[in-house]
Amino acid sequence: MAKIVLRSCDIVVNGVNFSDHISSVEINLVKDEIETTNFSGQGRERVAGLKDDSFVLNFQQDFAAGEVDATLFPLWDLETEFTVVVKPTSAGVSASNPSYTGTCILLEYQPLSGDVGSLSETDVTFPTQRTGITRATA
Amino acid sequence: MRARKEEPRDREFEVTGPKVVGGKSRGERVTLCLTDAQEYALIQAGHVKPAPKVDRPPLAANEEG
Repeated sequence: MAKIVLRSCDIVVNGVNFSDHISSVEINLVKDEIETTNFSGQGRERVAGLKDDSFVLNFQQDFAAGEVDATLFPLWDLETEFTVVVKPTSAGVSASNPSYTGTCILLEYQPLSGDVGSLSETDVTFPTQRTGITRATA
Repeated sequence: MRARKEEPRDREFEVTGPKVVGGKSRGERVTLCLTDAQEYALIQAGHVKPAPKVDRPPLAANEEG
């Protein structure tokens, strides 16, 4: 498998493709660290705890109808759960183009954040609920 | 007692916004598996509207004549 340069990540929020308004993406797979250190060794010991996965997306803000703010504000306001799906490229899901899917909730949203003269962008973290992020290759 | 979680179900829409929704563009029909709240958020955002019902007689009615 070839190394990959990110050019056409496919990013879908609540069924809507936002690839043309997102400039960076992070898929964070995290499990809580539960310390189980004891007297049987010289160092620390730990086991994995609950999942706490999340997506972090950098949106280029757009207040037009059907764009970024019109989508994110209701998701934050209604406190509803929704799916986020990310693929490395826009091609179909395959072993070399896996999809990462999570049921998320939007708890923090900054519609405006920036300096004079700069592009209006907003970093949004989508924490996942219950099952965390699942990976599919077909 | 804990409230039961709503299961998403298939719903048909017409794409009205500038974005691709479920792989479909403006003017096309799309079927999405959503909860009521997810549907409301999509309509509020201007991405879709409920698809109009197709008003035509069932094919079986033609065959009877």
